[in-house]
Amino acid sequence: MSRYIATRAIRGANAIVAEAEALLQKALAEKGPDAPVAFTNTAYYLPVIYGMMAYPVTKIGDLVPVIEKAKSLLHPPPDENWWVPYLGETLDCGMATLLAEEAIEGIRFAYGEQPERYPGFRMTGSASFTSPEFETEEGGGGYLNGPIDDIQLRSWGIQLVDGRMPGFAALLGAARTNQAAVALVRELQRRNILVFLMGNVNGRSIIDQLHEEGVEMGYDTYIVPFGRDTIATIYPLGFATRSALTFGGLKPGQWREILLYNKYRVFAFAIALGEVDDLKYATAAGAICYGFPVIADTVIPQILPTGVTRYEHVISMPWEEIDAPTDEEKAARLVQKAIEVRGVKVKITEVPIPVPYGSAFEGEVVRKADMRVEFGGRASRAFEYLRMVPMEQVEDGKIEVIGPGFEDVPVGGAMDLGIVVEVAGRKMQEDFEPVLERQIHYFINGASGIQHIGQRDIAWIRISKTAAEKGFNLRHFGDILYARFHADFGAIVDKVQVKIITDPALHAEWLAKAREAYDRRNRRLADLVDEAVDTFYSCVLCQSFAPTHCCVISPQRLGLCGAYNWLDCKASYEINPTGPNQPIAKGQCLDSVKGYFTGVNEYVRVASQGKVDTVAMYSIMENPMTACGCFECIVMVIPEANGVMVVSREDPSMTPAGMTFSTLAGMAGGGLQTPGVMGVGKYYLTSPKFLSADGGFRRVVWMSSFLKQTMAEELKAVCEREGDPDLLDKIADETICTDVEGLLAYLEEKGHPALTMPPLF
Amino acid sequence: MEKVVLDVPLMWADHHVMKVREVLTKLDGVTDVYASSAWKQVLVAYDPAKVKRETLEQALAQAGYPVGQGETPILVPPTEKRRDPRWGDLGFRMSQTYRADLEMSGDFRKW
Repeated sequence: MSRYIATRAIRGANAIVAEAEALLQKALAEKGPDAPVAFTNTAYYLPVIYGMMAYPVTKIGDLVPVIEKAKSLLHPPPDENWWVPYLGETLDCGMATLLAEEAIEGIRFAYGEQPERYPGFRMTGSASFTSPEFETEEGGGGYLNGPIDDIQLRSWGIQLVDGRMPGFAALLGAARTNQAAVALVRELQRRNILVFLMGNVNGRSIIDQLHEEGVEMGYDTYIVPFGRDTIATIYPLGFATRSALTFGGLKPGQWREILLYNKYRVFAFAIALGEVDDLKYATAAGAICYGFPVIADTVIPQILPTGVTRYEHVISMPWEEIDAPTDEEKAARLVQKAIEVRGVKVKITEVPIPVPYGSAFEGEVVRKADMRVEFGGRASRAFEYLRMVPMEQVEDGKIEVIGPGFEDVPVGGAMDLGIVVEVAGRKMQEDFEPVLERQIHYFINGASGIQHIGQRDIAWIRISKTAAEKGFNLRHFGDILYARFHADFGAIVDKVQVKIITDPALHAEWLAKAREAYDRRNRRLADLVDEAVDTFYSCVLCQSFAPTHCCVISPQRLGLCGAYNWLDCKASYEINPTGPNQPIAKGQCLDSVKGYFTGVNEYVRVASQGKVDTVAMYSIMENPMTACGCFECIVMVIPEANGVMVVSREDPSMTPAGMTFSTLAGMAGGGLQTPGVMGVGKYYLTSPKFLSADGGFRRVVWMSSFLKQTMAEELKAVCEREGDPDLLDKIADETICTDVEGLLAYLEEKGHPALTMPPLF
Repeated sequence: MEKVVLDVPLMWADHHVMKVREVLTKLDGVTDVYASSAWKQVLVAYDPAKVKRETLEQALAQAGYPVGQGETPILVPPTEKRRDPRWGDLGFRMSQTYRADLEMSGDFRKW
C-alpha cells in the first residue's frame, strides 16, 4: 500500500465529507428537511447509499444519517513518521467519499443543478426519451446524462451477460490532446466496452474534447457523459451497485456481497487522465472497494499487490513514456493494459473495412441530413436472404457486387439493394437459415456510420456521408458478413459467399426467391407447436448475472429477452454443445393446461441451484417462470380487473399497478418466482400459449401504447384468433388511464371480456 | 504580460477548479489560467495595465478561495497517541477470506 496514496485519499475523503456536511446544512436551512431528493428514472433511490446502507433517501432530511455514517468511516491521515497499516482505513475513507459524493449529487438534484447543464450539447439517439423533462433546447439536449435510467441498465443487462459488452471504463479527467481522447474512446468502443466520462483537469474535461471533435455521445454509442467533475463518478458506481441489486439477486444492505459481486462479475476499471488530486484519490479508493482498478496516464505511485481487486490496484502508465509513435497506438497500449489489469475478456473480430467496427456502433442513427445513400425505406426496396447451399457451390470468401454502385446516386438518394448470403457447412441445417439471416442486422450495424433496421424484405440500410467519404462501398457489406459469419458461427459455417445485388432484373429475381423462402419458413415456424417437439431448451446465459434464473424456451414461448427463440437455442446448442442453451427432455406431461413437465421441473431444480423446483410453462398464477432482468415486458395481474397488464420496457409512464416499469422490474427480476408477476419477451404475447392456463390474451386489460403501435399487425391477428377482432381497442393503455379506477371504468365502457371471465383467484 | 503562481489551499478538487477558473477568466486583463487541484496552485497570466494582482486575490477570496489561507478540512485529526481514533468504533477487521469471496471467485464468464 502506498502511504502517499493513502494520505491523499484519506485527506480527500475528510474534505469531501466536510463539504457534503456543509452543503447539507445549507440545503436544510434553505429548502427544509422535507424537500424531495431523487435521481431520475430509478427505483433505487440514491443507489450507492441504498445498496450499502439499505436506506432509501427521498428527502433532504434523510441525508443527515448518511453524512453521519460517512463521518464514522473517516480516519486521520497517516502520521508523517509513524507507519502503520492503512489499507483498511483508506478503503473506509473511499466508501465515506462515495456516500458524501452521492449526497452532494442528491442535493444538487434538489437544487436543479443536476444533470449538469452543458449548452449546445445533445445526446445521440434514444437517450432522452426517458427524461423528456430535460429536453429544453431546440432539438433536445443542453444537459449531460446524470444517472443512468433503470430502463437502460436493464437493456444493457443482456449485452453485459452475453459478453457482447465486456465491461465498462470510467474515464476521469482530460486526455493530453483531443486526438488522444478520441483515440482512447475509439479503442474502448472497438472492444465494445461501455465508456463513462467525467472529471476535468484545469477545467477541461474529456467530455469537452469529444464534443469538440464531433464524437456522438449517448446510450446508443456506449459513451455516456456524466458530468465535468469527479463527484459525477458516483453515477457509474451507482450503476454498478444497481447491477448487483438487479441481476445478482442481492438485497440492499448486503454491502459486502454487492462489492464482491462487482469484483467478480462487473468488469469495470477507471482510467485517470491528467493530474490526480485528493478527491480523485479518495474516489479511486471507493472504486477499489468495488474491485475496480485504476490506471493513470501520469506518474503516480502504484499499488501492485492483488487482493481487493483481482489483479493490481493502481497502475501508472505515463502517456509520454508509452513506447508508440502515434496517439492512436498509445491509446491502444493504455487500453490494453487496463484490460489486462482488470482481467476483462474481450473478443474482437477484425473486419477489413475503412470505418471503425464494433457492437458499440450498433445503435448508431444516421439522420437524413447526414446520409449519403439509403437502401429500403420509402423510396426503394432492400432485402436480405441467407440460404444453405451444397458445399461445392460455395467459393469461400467470394464477394460479388452485381450491378452499379451508389456513386451515381445523388447525395441523400435511395437505391434498391439485395444481400444474398450463401453458406455451406457440414453441420449446417436448413433450420439455422433464419437464425443466421437475423444476424445480418447486428453484423452490418456494427460498422460506424451504417444504420440497419428491419429484416427480410423490409430491411432499411443507410450509409452516412462520413462513412462514404472514408471509402465505404457496397462490397464492404460482403466483407463484414464474411468476417463475422466465420468468426461467430465458425462451428456450423465452413464456407460463405456474398452477393450484393443492385442490378434491377436480378434484384427482382432474387427478391421473388427470397419471398418464397420467407413463406416456407413462416409455415414451418407456425407449425412448430410445443406438443410437436419432445425437447425444450434452457437458457442460462444470464446466470453470470442472475445466478438462480433459468429460462425454459419452447417453440411457443421464446426467451424473455426476446433474443432467443426455440430455433435459436437449437442452433446455439449445435454451435456450442457445452454452452448456455441445453436441451431439456420434456419428460412426462403432468398437466397439459398449466404446462407441467417432469423433465422441465428436474432441469430447473438443478439449474436454479435448488431455488425453484416447479415451473408452469403456461400460467402466471401458479409457479410462473423466473426472470433475470432482461425481459422486454412485464406482465402483472390486476386483481380488480380480473386480468393482467403488460408494461413495455420502453414505457416510462405510471401503470394501474401504481408502479412504473423500473419499480415493477424489481419484483419481476432477480430469479424470483412471484405468482402474478412475470417477465416475458414481447412476441410471447402473440403465442397461443400466452397465459393459456389463465385465459390467454383475453386477460390483457392494459398494455403500453408502445406495444399497441409497434406490434399492431401481430396483435390484430391475435385478437382475431381469440374470436374478438376489436379486443385491442378494449385494452387500455397509459394514454387512457394509469389508475385502477380509470381502468375499470374503461373496461366496463368497452365491455372487455376479462370482466366476465372466471375469477383469476 | 505578467505571470503569477498563487497558492489556493482550498482548491483540492476539480469542481473547485471550475469555480476558480470561472472567477479568474471573467476578469478583464486575465489572459490565461492554469488551475491545478493536485498542487492547489493556480498560474495566472495577466496584463498588469488592466488588472492588479490584488484584484485577482480579492476575487478569489470573495469566491471562497483565499490565497495562501485555509487548509483542506480534516474531520478526524491525528491524535497525540498516534492511534487511529476510529479503530475502536469500527470493530474488527476481516483478516481471512470471506465466505462469499470464495463462492463468487469461480469462472463466471464461461460463455
